[in-house]
Amino acid sequence: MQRVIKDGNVQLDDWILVGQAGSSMNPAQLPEKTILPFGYIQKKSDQLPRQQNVHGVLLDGSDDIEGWGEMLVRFPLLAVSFSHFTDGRGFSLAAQLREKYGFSGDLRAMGNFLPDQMNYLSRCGFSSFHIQDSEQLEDALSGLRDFNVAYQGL
Amino acid sequence: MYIYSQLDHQLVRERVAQFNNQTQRYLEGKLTEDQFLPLRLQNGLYVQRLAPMLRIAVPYGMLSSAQLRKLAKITREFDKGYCHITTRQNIQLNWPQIEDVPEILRELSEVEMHSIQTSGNCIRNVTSDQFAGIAQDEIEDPRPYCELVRQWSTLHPEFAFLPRKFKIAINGAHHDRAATRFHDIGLQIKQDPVTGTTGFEVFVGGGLGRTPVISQSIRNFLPATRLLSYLCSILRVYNRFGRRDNKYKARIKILVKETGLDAFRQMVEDEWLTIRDNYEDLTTEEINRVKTYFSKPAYARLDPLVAQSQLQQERQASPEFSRWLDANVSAHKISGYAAVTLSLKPTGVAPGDMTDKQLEAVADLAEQFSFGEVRTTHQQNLVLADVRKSDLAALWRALVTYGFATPNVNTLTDITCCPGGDFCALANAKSIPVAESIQREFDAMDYVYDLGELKLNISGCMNACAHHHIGHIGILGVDKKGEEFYQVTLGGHGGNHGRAPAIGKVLGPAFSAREIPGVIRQLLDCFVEWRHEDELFVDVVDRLGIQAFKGMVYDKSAKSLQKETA
Repeated sequence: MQRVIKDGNVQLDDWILVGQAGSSMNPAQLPEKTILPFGYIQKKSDQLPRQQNVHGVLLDGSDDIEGWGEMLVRFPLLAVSFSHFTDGRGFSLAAQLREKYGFSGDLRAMGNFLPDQMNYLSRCGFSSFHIQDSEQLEDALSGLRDFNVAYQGL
Repeated sequence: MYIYSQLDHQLVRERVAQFNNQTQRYLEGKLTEDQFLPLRLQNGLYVQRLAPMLRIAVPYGMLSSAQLRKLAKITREFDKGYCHITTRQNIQLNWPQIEDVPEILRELSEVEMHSIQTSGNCIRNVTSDQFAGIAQDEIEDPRPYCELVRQWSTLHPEFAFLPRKFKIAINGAHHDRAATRFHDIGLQIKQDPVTGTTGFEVFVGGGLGRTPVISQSIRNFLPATRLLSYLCSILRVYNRFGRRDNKYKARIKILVKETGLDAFRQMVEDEWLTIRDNYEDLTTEEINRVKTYFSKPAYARLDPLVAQSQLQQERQASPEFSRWLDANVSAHKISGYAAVTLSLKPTGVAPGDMTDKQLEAVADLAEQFSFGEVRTTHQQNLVLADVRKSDLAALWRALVTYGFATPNVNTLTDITCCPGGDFCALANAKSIPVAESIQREFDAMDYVYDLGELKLNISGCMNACAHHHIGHIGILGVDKKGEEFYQVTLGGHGGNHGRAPAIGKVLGPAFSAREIPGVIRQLLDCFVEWRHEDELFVDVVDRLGIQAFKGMVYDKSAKSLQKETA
């Protein structure tokens, strides 16, 4: 179990990230609540059930999801990993998933981002946040509330 | 000019609080140097060669008297009593303390100012024509659109961590006084020939810096109501696919080049098609609401003939006044009014620098003569935009007193110059002393005046803050084995008055700082000898090519070097 920020507070969460090592796993044997790498989804797409209510997908800013959007939005959770907090590709990826592909599930920020980016992340459509350093949980929570007004109608 | 609403005030207050918190966490060691860096940059705070530098946003160059007075107070209390106007129409403080910055920001917020996004890899201050709203060749006042883009881009959650900085300029006149073709996005206001509705031609992928590129037209006509969704589409494609592996290849100009304009356009249009119908775009009501902030001030109905004959008498009484009128005063679309450029380029003062006393003087003069508003220009001067012609002589006398009346606007000595190696940590060479050496070499105003319009720009490094690529004469500081040298380019042009934008060509091997005034003298001697009638320097470079100048300059400098060593 890990702690994530969701709905404005800290919650326990049992999603498990399957690393690249899991790429040899048989899709039929995947445990529930596993977050699968996008590469795995691309390779095994024909073996995955059409209704996806138990798995999540891990993306990162460099992934080109052109052509995969419709499939991705069927998952209940999409995670976007930030390799570095200055790499802003994940912000636009999240906005695209929400605006362009209409994803309505849980959109999770993972990896290297700062408490100072929480407000922007949430306004780009992220709905949960995996904070690596538990000492930053409090700053991250308050970061969510850095701004109560915005010019953009997002 | 624009006046803050409750929302604007709250947003800036919340930003100040956020930055206060970030500074505290940094000083307590909770934020590392690397983490604090992009956060402080997005609040305009650099750490420079000798001290921090704070860049304050002046949206599209508009300032009020109250803001000028606040800036004067800040330079006095937190700096050394002066500030610097930048080529993005912003204002820089060169000597603040990091600990004082949150307090400075709080003070600024009292007069509706901030330093948001004046640096960092985000959308920077939107720039425009300093004669917006008053120019005779204007299609439509660009400032309402500048303000709308300012609001849209300010603290935009998606575009705060772009591959690199991003600059937008908007021009509303037939002549481009905003160098729009050298911006990441340039917007040229135009009217739909059929419906008459206002929109923009959209240019993308221009820029200066290490790889100067003239932008290309990506869309011939974009209705104004679709502006924000289209900007979002361009920015999103750039944010997703712009290069992040090499900061010198990270600007959108490289993405456009490597992708190809047509393919890039297709990516933008594809994105736009999917988002535009649900996007909170501009409505005509919203555009009209913002336009009300830029409505005409209460101009008096003046008899142009009376003003003209009075001016004629004053001209005859004082040749100095007459010269200033010719050089520093521009036409206004309202009869009986004129726009006055205050030169911040007297010899011996760093180009664009102003003292606290001068800031206060301008605040007073603006109230007395120009509806309490001032504009900064990207050539690092100031403009009082709405002066009665009958007041020009009185204003001139005041400007002489405060050191703003040097009659050199758009001449050789109106040098655009970055802070350079005296201040900037990025610089390869000093630029301010080179500007001064040129001003001293050409102290004969008659001569300078006869040369006609001549733009000379000096940048201390490849980042090209002083836009040397578009100077008719450009000077670039380079480092050669630890020594400062200066490369000269000729024939650059921002693109207006029927002339296509052009990037200056390198004359040849670089010169030492000591050689520069002599080199400029040689170039101008050639020009004077070769020019036909009223040709400008840049015309002669176009007509004869750079080789003609090259032969003269390098032959002569070889000779004079021989003389010196002999």
